[in-house]
Amino acid sequence: MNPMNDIVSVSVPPGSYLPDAINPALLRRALVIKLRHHGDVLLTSPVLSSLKAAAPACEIDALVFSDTAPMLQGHPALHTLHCLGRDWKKLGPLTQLRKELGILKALRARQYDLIIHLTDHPRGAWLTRLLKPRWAVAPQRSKGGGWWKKSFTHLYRTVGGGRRHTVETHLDALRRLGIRPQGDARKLSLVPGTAAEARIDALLAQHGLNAKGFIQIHPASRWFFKCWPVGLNAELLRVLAAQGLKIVMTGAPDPREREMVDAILNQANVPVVNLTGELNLSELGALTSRARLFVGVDSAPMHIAAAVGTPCVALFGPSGDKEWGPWGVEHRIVTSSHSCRPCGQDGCGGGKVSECLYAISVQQVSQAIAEVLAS
Amino acid sequence: MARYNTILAHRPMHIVHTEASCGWGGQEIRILEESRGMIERGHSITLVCPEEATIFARAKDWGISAIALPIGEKRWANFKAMRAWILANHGKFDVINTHSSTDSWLVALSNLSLGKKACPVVRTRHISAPVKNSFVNRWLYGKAAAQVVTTGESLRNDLVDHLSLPPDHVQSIFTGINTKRFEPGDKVAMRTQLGLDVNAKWIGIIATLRSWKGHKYLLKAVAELDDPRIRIVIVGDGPQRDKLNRLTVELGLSRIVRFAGQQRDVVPWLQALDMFVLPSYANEGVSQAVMQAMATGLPVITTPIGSSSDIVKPGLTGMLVPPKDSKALAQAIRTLLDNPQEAHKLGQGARSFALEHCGIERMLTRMEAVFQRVAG
Repeated sequence: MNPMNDIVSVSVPPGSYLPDAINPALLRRALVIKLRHHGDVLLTSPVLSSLKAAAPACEIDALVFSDTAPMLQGHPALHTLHCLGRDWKKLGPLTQLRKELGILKALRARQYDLIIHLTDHPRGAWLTRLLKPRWAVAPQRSKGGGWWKKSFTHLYRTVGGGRRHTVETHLDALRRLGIRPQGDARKLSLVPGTAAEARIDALLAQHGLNAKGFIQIHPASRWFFKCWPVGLNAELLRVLAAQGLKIVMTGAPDPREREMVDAILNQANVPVVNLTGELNLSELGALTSRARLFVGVDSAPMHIAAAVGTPCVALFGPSGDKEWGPWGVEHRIVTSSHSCRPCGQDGCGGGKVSECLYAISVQQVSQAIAEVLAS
Repeated sequence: MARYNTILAHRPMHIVHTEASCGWGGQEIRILEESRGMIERGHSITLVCPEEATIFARAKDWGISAIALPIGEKRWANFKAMRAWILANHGKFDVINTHSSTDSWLVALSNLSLGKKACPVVRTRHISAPVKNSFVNRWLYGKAAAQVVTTGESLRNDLVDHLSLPPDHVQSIFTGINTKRFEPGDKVAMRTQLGLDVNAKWIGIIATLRSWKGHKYLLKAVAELDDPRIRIVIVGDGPQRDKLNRLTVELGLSRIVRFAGQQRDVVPWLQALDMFVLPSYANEGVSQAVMQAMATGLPVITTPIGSSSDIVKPGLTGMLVPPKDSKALAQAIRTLLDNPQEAHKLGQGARSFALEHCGIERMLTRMEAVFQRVAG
């Protein structure tokens, strides 16, 4: 397994072989659309950085769901962040319509030269048709044929089978336009903000922790079929505590995640700092940036760790580590030897329990942790 | 959706150009040059213009069929003539390309009154004069024309910004130059033919003699250098001629400056030069002369005025000096004279850049795509 980051520098001659490459110098305003979950949105940050590097004069906006806004807020290449609410549907059809029209008006006023739509959701095609940019790029879609195709000027091809990292797939949108992402612009970026940093510094002081003096463990995920079982987590805690390592547990302010962390702590019965449910996403970013090491599963907090440059030990079950592994940071990926993985299913047979995660031993994980700590 | 310079399936089209203006300049040359290229690509062209327009007389020389129609003014009679012509020729052409304000209005209003017999319109805007943001202008550019083409990027941006037009509605397709005509030639033969000293170092400027073209700074720079090898050739005529003549005498450069006046064909003059200088300090878009010199393979020294820096990349395709700075200009000329290899490299870079980016083919392909899209 590649212990260092996946960002391989390949020297490619300058110039473009594309007959329909765009001239980035002509871009004045661009919009990146990513209406998905937190991790997906965070993995678009290299698109913003790379586009900015190619077109320094271009104002780059993004359109995301409002709950994922902290993933891009404060990004150095970002001009304006437009947000759609996931809860607008609950407000009644009239309010929803008014809100949708409001955002459409705001977007139209920006007169975008370029729209980069990074999912195959029809909403991006609708928006592109309404906003009439000079250029628009989206992934190729097997279904929906002509209507989808005619909504965009450029379509990029995706690599199937989970063989390409999602960040590279996102950057393929730029490559299709003739913009080649290079160097540090391909790294993830997350800016927690000064308020979050101040709160975390205060919290760490309160618990007597030093920056880079503790390990962060984030055992839960929105999808429980991606999580390592409670018993093994507890055993790992005991092993790490016996080594004298300071541990901070984190989790989302969600009753199921709290329950899981509480169960782990009850079984382990070792001293740890438990911040589960106490931090928002920006504060989580600020905390992770101060951790010596992040231990967790394939989830948004793992991508946050990669974005703030904290080394990761990541446990992968049914999801693909080539596609979703920690990007651009020192890491170890721990998996079982199941021949079926990554299957992309929600548990074996769709039963919400992934046996490949149960098969990962505590010894495997603690060894990976020791390796990263030693390097 | 906008298909950016995409080559679509080829289908011969009949394109009608309307031009109400009677003058003769870059706008008219672009129309004729573009039309000739389109004919070479298998399309047919009809030019509609007033009988007294210069372009009507010259169209024949370019092999373009022109029809005289009284459309020179925004009058009722002219509207009737335009409308009647469109109606009479309905179905015989695919698209109308309007160029000046008057003919755009006549065609737009005709279309408005023709209902289903209206024809698709492409509006080309050649000049940079600001367009007032009014309801009628938004209609003329936004609704009455299916596509708007400008000859420069900043022109495009002004239109999109001031009239709040959709970004894919306006494209900039700048006039290319004929890279088959402007190509490196035999320096010695050309100098002999034009009566220029074969062994000297010839610096050239081709521009209308106007103050902002900066001839003055070139003369001062050369006077400063005081190099016996240097000769200057000034091609062009204009209001500043007497002033420049006097300045030449004052600076003691009479023996080395050659005023060639207005030239119909500048190719031999460019081919005879060692370097091209255009020290303008205002009012430039992308200078045609600079592109022509680059296509001829000359090292170019110019200023970052207008969009010149789009094509002149320092150290790759030419040199940039600050405007109104004869010392910096002298320094740049000295560099090129003392390093013939560097000068040669810049000339080569300029030529390959011009071939790739400034050729007329690019303009034709993109115009073709616009017409095809609008014609449906």
